[in-house]
Formats: sequence, structure tokens, C-alpha cells
Amino acid sequence: MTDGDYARLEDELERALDPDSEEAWDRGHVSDPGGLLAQARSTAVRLVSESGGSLRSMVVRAGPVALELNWADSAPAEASAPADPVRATAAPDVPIAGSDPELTHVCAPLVGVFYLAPGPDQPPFVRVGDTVASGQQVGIVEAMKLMVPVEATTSGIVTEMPVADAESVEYGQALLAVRPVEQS
Amino acid sequence: MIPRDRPFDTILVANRGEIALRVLRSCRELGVRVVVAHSTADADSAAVRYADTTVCIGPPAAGKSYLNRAAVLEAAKRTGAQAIHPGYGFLSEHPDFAEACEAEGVVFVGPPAEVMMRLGDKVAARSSMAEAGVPMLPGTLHPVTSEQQAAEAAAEIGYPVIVKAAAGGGGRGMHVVHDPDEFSEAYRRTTATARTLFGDGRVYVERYLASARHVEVQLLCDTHGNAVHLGDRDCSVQRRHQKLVEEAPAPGLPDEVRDRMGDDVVRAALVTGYVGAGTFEFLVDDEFNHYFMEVNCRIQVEHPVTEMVTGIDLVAEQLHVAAGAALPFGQDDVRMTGTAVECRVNAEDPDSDFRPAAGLLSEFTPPGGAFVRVDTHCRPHYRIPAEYDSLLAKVAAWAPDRAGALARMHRALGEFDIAGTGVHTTTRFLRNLIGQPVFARAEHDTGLVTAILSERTQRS
Repeated sequence: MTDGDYARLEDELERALDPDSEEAWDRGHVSDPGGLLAQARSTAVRLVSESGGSLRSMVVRAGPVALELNWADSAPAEASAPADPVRATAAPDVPIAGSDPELTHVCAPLVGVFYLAPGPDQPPFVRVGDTVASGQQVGIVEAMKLMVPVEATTSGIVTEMPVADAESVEYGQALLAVRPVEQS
Repeated sequence: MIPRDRPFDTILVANRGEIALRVLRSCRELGVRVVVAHSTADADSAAVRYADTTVCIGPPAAGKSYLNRAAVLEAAKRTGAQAIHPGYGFLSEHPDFAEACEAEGVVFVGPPAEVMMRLGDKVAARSSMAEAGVPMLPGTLHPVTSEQQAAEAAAEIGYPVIVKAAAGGGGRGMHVVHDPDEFSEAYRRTTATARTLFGDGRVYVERYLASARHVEVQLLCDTHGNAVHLGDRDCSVQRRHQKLVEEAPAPGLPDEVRDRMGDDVVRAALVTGYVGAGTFEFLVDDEFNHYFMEVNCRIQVEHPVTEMVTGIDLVAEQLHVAAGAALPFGQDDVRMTGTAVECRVNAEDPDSDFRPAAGLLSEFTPPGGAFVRVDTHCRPHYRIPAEYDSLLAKVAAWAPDRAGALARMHRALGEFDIAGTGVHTTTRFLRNLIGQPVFARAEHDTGLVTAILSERTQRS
């Protein structure tokens, strides 16, 4: 989900809860906290079933009513950056909004230069159409003379490699797309 | 030498929030291109929106983005930035980062690494100040190495004492001890905190002043041996050593004390080989004796009040000095006019022990009007990230005299409209504080906030 989606979902939920309800509650104009809660709950249930997105947590308060929502499949952007950049790290696997939901993307674990091959005259780690296994090295990101291996986190077929060899990449930038294959 | 009107072609801003925007604005005015390095949490920040180039350097956790030396340097190199401005916090006072910049041929906007190392270590800084003849509170000149040694030093200094981490700063890693019986526990807690927070368990012991003012002097030095001070600021309004309100000049300070402090700072700067902008913090007692506390080797949060009374753009001067230019003014050219006050508006709930209260802003309308300056990165529908500090905005007001500045601040804070689900701010608390008679008469000390809070608790 994009930031816009978050904002839209929250706006919708807040409208359902009446933006002035806290104030109204103070003045004694709200007399049915049960009704308020039920309304909030039904809105939440509808949002969950409609979006199925990656919202991790949301808290909405209206007077004495507090509603907390968590979507289970959270965006891993915060979860998987390298603690020690020298060690091999599993690059974050971020599904990109608007792209094929079947695909997962191997993303740059840090800012630097992306290399497709272990050396200048050597064949690339992977090509489009190759099958990769989870944990397999698919590239290198070089930052401040550190060579950080990039590994696939999903087993599957490489369908896209949007970054050319020796190109600069930012943290979290998609380096290749993988169509996951069911493991037997 | 690079011409003074354009210190660099491109500068990388290695910070976030209001200070990233503050630095960016001075760069823009000087015709310098700006690269903003940001985390994924700040991908849509105001600084990012205004930048010429942006580089995402890591995830929200500061340790993996804003404190990630390799990522910041890499971002500077790949965007052709000749210099890095670290703002405050994050990498601004890490000598190893300044060294790494130098090794990569990138200018670090700040003092040289070795100066930062000496002044950043409180014990080493005290020796340098002793050498420069700057007055200090009685205390140990070297780190104490055992509890027994520390307790003996405390007895010699006389209670109350404060035990401080040698590597500490930002108001953390210190404990006040009023009674010898409490010393053992305070010593153990300080060393433990120091080890955890700063990776350095060394501590020192100093006399504690119960009733004192926090007065600091702004310094500016170039690489040609020129050092000037830009007057003082009073930052006595603090809560748990965190400043809430700052003003320039310090009210009620006799001119001869002001001059003596300024002279001390300039002398100490020349002795230590300081370069760039910096702040010397002092405690001032009831008899206007001043005692050195620490040096901040960076631009400070409260620098706008000095800018307002001197008319000098401190960030622009930092950049010129970093590029090797000489200061265009001497001490006699620095003129202070009027009084400026600054309030830090934080996303904290004063009714719940100032716990952070971040969230999505539905309303955000800063105050306006003559002689009011608002430094903020916030806007309506901005989500305050929970990963960073709670500073939303700095409101500064200037007037020819202090009473006028306080009236203007009171008016400005009353206009500030901030709202959002779960969002609380310190605006109303600050407005109330500004209106306190003891503050208006400038009779307050560093205990003011504690006094207000305990009074509130008693009344409710």
C-alpha cells in the first residue's frame, strides 16, 4: 500500500467515527459507546476484507473508544537491512505497489553500486529466465569499498532485472523480480 | 580560495526534520546544489521535496540510515557532493565520521576530528579549559577509576555533587548526589548507563549547583585563526536536561560578566584550534560566577535566537568557513539588537509525563506575523515518524525588548494550530510557561519546569 492508501483508509475510518466525537463525548453528546464501537468495528472489518494490504498497525481513538488494527503481512522495509554490512545479507523482499502481485523483488540492502557479476570479465550471477534458490547470491552492492553480496529470499524464476551492471542504487531499490515457485 | 559567495557546488545534508530544511535553505540562498540523504521513513519529507537530488540511505532505524557512516559517505560520493553538513545529533559529533570524510576527500562541515575528539570527551575538555584559564566547578580533572576513588573525590569537592559520564552529552548519563550515603548507587548507575549508552564507562565527579542558570556562548571560528563570539543565550528552561525555551541575550546578566564569558570562549577556541560554529555551555550561579560545562561541536537547535539578534546566518557562515573562507567580520562588527525567544514545540503529552505522542497530523497551521520565525518540516497530513525525536517546530520571536518578545511569543503560540489522531503537543504548556511571572521577571533557574509541574500535581 502507498502512503496515499494509508491516508485514505484512515480518513475513511475517522469519518466513520465522527471527527468531533472526542469533543462531543466531553460535552456529553455521545451516549452510546457500544454503538460507536460497533460502527468502528464494522468499518474495520470492511476495510480489512477490501484492502488485504500491508498496513501493520493503526490506532483510532474516539472518546473512550480505541480501535487498533494490524495487517499481518507487513512491509519488510524496516525488517531486513544488514546489521553488519560485511556479512552476506538477505536483501529485503518488497512487493512493489502496482506490479504483478505474484512477483517478489530482491531489493538493494544498502546504497551503492550494483554489480551483476563477481568480476568484470565474468558471467553474471543470474540472467532473466534463470531459476534461483532462496539464499542464492544474485549480485553485489559495493559501498565504500565493501562488497556486500545480495541474495534471493525466495526460490523462483527471475523475470526482470531492471538495474544494469555498475549502476548506482539506493537502499530498497528493486534489483530483480522473482516469480516464486511452489516448493515441493 | 573558493569565492565567498558560493562555498561549494553541491552539499549533502545528512540529517532530517527541521534542521535538514534549515541547512537546505541557506544552501539554496548561496546557490549551492543540495543532496538530501534520507531514510525510507522520510521519503516524502519537506527537505526531500525541496532537494535537487535525494538518496535513500536506509530503513527508518537511525543506526541503519542517518548513523550509517558508509551509506552517508557513499551517497555523497555518488552524487558528487564536496561537503557533508551533519546538522545536529546523528553524525554531527562523531570524530570518526569526520575522519572518514577527510579520508574520502569530502569536507565535513564542523571542527577537525581531533578537536572534536578532545572537546567531546568531557574530561579531556576540562583539561583544555583549565589550560585556557576558563573557570570550572570544583571536580576531578581526570576520570575516576574506582568507586572508592570517586567517593573520596566527592568528599573533597563537597556535596552535592554530580557524577557524569566522560563520554556523555545531551543531558544523559549523569546523576546528582546530595548525600554521601547515596553515592555508591549513583556511581554504579552512572557507570552502567555510560557503558550502555556511550560504550565508555569512565565518569568524573563535579560540584553540583542546585540553583543555577544555563547560559551558553555561540562561537564562530575560521581556518585563518579568527575567532569571534556571537553573544550568549539563556537555556535555563529545561526538563530533565532537555531545553524547552531559549533566549538571546541571557536576561539580567551584567555586561562585564557577558564580556568575560565571551573572552573566555574566544581564548579557549584559539587554544584548542576550534574551527566552525560551536557552543560553550556554562552554569551561572546567583553571584554571576560562570562555570564551564561542555562544548557542543555543532550547530545547535537554538541557533535561530542568535541569528535574530545578530543578523548573522550561522549555517551560511559554517559553509563559508568549511570552504576555507575567512570570517568577513571581527568581534567589534558583531552587534546584538533586541531580544529573541525560541520555544520548542514537541509532539509530547505534558499531561502524561511528556510521553511522545506522534501520529498523523490533520491540522498544522503555524503562527505568522511580524518578527516571528517558524522552523518546521511539518505540514497537514504529515505523519510524524515514531523513530525519531519529537521536535515538530521551533517558534522564535524577536522584539526590541524582552517584554515585547515574550508578548509576541505568547501571541504566536496561541495561533499555532496542530491536531491529529493521538497527537499531543507542548504548545499550551509552553504558552503557560512564557506567561509565568517568575519567567517574565527573569528570576527563574533550571528548576523552573520542575516547580511548575509539581505545583500542577499538587493542585490536581
